[in-house]
Amino acid sequence: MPLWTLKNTKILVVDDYTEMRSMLRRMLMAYGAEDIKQAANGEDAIEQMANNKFDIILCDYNLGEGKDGQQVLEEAKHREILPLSTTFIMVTAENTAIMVMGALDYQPDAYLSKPVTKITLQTRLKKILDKKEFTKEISTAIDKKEFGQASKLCDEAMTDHPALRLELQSLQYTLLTTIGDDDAAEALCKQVLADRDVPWAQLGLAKVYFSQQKYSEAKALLDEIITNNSDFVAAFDLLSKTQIKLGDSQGAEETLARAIEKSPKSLIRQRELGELAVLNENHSVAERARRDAMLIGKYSVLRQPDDYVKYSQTLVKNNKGKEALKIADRIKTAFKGDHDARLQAEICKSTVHQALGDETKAEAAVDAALLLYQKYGPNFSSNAGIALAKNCLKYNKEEEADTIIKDVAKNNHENKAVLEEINQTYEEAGFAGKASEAIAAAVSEIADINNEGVRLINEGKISESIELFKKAAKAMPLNHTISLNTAQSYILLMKKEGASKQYVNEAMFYLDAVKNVDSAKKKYDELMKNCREFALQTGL
Amino acid sequence: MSKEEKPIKLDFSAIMASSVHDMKNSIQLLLGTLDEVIDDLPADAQPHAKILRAEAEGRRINDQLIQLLTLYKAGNTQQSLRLCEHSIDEFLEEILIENQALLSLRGIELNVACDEEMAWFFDRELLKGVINNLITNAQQHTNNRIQLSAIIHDKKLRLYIDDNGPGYPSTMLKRYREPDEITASENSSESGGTGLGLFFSATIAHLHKNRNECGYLQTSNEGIDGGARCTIVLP
Repeated sequence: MPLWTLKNTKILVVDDYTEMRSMLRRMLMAYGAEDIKQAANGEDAIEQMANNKFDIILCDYNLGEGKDGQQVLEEAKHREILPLSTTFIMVTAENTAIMVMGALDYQPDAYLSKPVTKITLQTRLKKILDKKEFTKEISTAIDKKEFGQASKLCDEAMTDHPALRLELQSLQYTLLTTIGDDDAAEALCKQVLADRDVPWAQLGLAKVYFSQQKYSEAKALLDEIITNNSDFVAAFDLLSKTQIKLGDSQGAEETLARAIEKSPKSLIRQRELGELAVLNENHSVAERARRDAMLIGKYSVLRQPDDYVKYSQTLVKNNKGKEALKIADRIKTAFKGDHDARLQAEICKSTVHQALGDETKAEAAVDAALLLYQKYGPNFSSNAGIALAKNCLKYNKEEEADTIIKDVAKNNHENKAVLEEINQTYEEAGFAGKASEAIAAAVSEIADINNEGVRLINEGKISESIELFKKAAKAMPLNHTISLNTAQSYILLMKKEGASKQYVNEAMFYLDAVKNVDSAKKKYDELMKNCREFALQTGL
Repeated sequence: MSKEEKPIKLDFSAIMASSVHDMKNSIQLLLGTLDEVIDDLPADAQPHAKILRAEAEGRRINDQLIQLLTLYKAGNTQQSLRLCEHSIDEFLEEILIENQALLSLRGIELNVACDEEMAWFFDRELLKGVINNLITNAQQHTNNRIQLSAIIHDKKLRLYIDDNGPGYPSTMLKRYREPDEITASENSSESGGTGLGLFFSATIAHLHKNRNECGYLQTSNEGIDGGARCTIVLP
């Protein structure tokens, strides 16, 4: 008789092989499990995870067509449907190191090698669950964003259970990077690495360097990691990003190409390779990368209409106009009910028709896009907006173009790349200088809002400033300055009235919008630090 | 930098991986079914020796598969490890349970001696393949005992596989730092299976690296009552 039981445990078994699922199910039932769901593929698994909270997920790595186990894990984490308190176990047949070599955030709790037998369950599964149970309090605190509490528990556990030190240190790293405390994360990684080369700590340290904008240090470390471990795909990804920062786009492209050779099924990686190849004018590489990005996207929530648009643009560039048109046509069916996608599809079609010399059809597509823009307002991506404005100018619809450009500029008034793109678009269309007016108008409108907000704050009317900024943030959801100022107002309010859970959450919400924005980093760090202090005071 | 299209080439490692995947599924179903047969027997019935034998052979096929794939990949410098921290006590316990029933039918006592709080970095599946291999080897030479034990010494893990047989012939007493150091005669003089066992074990040990140090194998006659001892040293 088993000494432990899986009674009252919710389990999901994911395997493409029916007999395998039944066998695992029977084995688990022998240990008292009653609530066992099954999924035959990655898509089904994701859907079930979105609708249920499982205690244990046993997922086979190899799931036939569609997503593999690692993609299921990454997507589930990305969509936040896999809490830290759920035990995710990857079942593997072949000892492929690549899948382990992802970033720490995308690692399962454990790997089980096939054959998984009764003995494995008895010895390993129990230990894995025991360990998980031990760290459960900490993970639950992190899941609930109660970071101060989680950190305290981590420290206590480390003193009480030195044998689980490394496990706890990796949790603590997750915690520190979540709250953005680079210095502490750096110290932690160095402490771990003093004893031995631990992959997650090596990559973690490189990530911290990158975040601190110490790009040469990051590159040196990543080069060393890759020399010693050529399967560490996540290190390639970060190295490529670092090389871009150091201005070596050729090197960055080569690095990504090597990563893709090892692990081709990543949408983001293919997308980035496409961008770099375009930048380096390697159009055949770009075409392949963008095609693959589109194909991989079929199985991913991360897919965007842009994947189709860019592939289509590259096809045009490579004189494959007819194929490009087919791809443009596919956008609408691939993204049913998505306005941004419909808009992008029309613009994309228009661009391809122009390239093929069919001006009538090209203009008709622009008109269709404009109708959509009028109907659904300024919430379109800057990509879609600029492309539409460009096509408007082409067909003498200057007024429409101006309206669109103003919307884009307002959303991105500090994003030099976007503003430069607007300028360039106008210049190419023969309207040099015209864009600057639109941009200046947008910038001054935002300056007015900011000044008004600051005035309110100085007069002690903090609630009113919050209202002002929130309203502006709604109209320009992508504007970083507005988001930062909204967060700052909440912090000022707490400085005046004391900490509150609700205000901390509000401030965090607006800070989250600029989390990965380089130009906002300094301000973000400062406000985040304030936020953490208030969070601690409220016991969050 | 525009890349030339590569000519279509048969990717043998992909074929290998996909076959291994299928075979592993078969082994999983085979072992699972045998477990169920044992469960279906009346509670007081001794599991039939023949079923245990079948189970052991199923596991042996699995070990051989791992060995085959590893050596193939190592030959193409594609093999890399899945290094994670594992509890050693728990790891050895698992190996013990899997081998115990069949060994006891043959009158061989297998036991584990290891501290509970020890943990180390290694590739669990591959190292298990190595130890199973060395157990298979030991059971051919032992009198009636095999012992697995481990200590951490000088910042390295030392795993001992001891038996109480006659010990290694003096020509085989050495430290195997590189797999290439194993000569053809040493390989053939090693009985039990394909003769690749020692080579496989040395390869796996060597693949385990930390900083600039590699793991290695060491043979000696410091086993039980002067019997054979094979030591796996992992940095």
